[in-house]
Amino acid sequence: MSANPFDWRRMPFLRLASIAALLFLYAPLVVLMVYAFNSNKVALIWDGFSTQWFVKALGNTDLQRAAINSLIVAAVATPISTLLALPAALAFERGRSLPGRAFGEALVAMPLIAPEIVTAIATLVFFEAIGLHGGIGNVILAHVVFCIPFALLPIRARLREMPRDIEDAAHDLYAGRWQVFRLITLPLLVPAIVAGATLAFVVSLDDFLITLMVAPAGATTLPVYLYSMLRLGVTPEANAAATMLLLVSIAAVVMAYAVSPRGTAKR
Amino acid sequence: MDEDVTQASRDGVEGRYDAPAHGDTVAPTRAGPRLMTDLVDVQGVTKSFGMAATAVRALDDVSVSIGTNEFFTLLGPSGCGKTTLLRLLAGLDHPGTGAIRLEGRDVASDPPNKRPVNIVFQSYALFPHMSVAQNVAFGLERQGLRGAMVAARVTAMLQLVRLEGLAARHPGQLSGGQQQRVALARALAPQPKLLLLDEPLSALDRALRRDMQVELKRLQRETGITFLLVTHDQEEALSMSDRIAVMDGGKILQVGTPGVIFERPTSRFVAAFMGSNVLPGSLVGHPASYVAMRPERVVVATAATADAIAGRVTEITYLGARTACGIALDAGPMIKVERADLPAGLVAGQAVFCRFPPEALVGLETP
Repeated sequence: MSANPFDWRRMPFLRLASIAALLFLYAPLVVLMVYAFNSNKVALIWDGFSTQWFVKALGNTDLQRAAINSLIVAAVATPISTLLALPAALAFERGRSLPGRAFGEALVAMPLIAPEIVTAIATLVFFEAIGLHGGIGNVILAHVVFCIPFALLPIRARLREMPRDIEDAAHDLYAGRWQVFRLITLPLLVPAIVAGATLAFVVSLDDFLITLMVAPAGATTLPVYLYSMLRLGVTPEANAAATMLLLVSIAAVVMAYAVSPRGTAKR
Repeated sequence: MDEDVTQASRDGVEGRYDAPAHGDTVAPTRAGPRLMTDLVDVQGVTKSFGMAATAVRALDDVSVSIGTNEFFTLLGPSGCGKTTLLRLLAGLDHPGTGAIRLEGRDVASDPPNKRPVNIVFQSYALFPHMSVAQNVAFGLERQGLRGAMVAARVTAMLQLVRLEGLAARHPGQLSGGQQQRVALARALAPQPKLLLLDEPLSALDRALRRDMQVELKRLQRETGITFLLVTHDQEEALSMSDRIAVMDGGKILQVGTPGVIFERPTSRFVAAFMGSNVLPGSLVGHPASYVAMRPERVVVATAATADAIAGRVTEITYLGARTACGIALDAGPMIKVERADLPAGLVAGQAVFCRFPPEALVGLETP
């Protein structure tokens, strides 16, 4: 290692640059959270410590409604998108190479690269065109679609690094195709499936643009509701609500990290 | 250049001897005559990978028979088709054309779980989420065995590979050599008719490899199961096998006992791959245009004799038990010599005289 002609870990100022980058990423979040405890009615004028805005946010029935909608949408869209992502990942990584497979892969990954506003408008127009008015169902349907590529990512990555020999060995040791999947492939994929589901959950929880377009009255989710609050002026109540949303996201990511393959024995 | 050499070997060697060298000495073989019935019979198997236009032919009309209770080795460089043949025997791939018979029954289209054939993978391929005991029990349970039967067999298998104390460990907690033994126990537990070993020792260090070679021979003896080993290591093949098939370019070039493969190669590839000197030349009574000569059999002297060929030492390497010596013959080609009794004080650049004992010259048939 010491003989390496270039080792980026030995660059001068690396520590400084890392701290600056972290500050750039997280300072706004810290400011948001600090001002959530501001007692002043105007969010950006510090007046003293208070938790009154959390109490107020928790007592706001519209906000409660939006938060419940968010959780319903995420809780339904997450398992559906993960269940669709699993066979897709198996087909892409373990299936035979059929003609048009590359096209199919690109199609599934589309929501990752297409500008979200385009997807949002397209979804809205499509739902209108086919006359689909399913209320919160519309939101769930839209979320399932854009959550699939996120759920797919870790499952596919795990399959790719998992040697095929392991599955071949099980097949060789008298396990049929389905037994190989049930006894070997699936148990080894569990951490990746959890990670994929968490990503899908967080992405669904955080989505704004698509939900704004497709959510009818009464099906508004938390991010959309927070945005409508800001239009009436930034009050610390919005900060408090955003802080709580952030904590839910962090909790989900921490949970996924705890069960990630990092902890289990390699191969 | 080639013409000169042919001339040289005619003048220097063959002119003096009337009897054809080929076939007049019987190479020592470790497996004496024995009664063997064929367990595996591969007939005219061809296998290509990729689309029709750009297909790569991995196996080209391969036929070979392996006897019951035999330790058989497929030896060849990487890409020669040996692993493809192993995967076809396991059922992990299926042949394009040809038949694969196991005890007389064509199994070419049977899936791996319907064949009494088990593999030890090069990567070991242990199930990382299962304990050692669960790994070994896997094949038994899939065959419908339960409870005490499985437990007894797992214990016996772990005893066989000398891992009694490690049943509860997980593969991640084992050394490479221990994982290797688990893979062996797991593959032997269901008592397959044929055990396939895909470069099983390549990931082990040298000392451990030696131990495992002995160990594998012992396991084969004790279980009475037919072993088919795939390797690119000549020494490994020679020390373990009853018979060896040397492969190159998707074809089997020669099948024989280690002694025959080593001492009596029939083709330039096999001769060179086993470390022989391959020289242009011919033998009386043999349609060869090339001859093989083992480096251990070349006699080197510092003084000229009537039947010796002149050359010059290019390099000299002390190997312990022997000394290796590169010699550029005045007629052109380079030869290797490996002997314990080279003249004392040889140095690079020195003129020497090489004699090729006629009984050690082997005519090579194929170009």
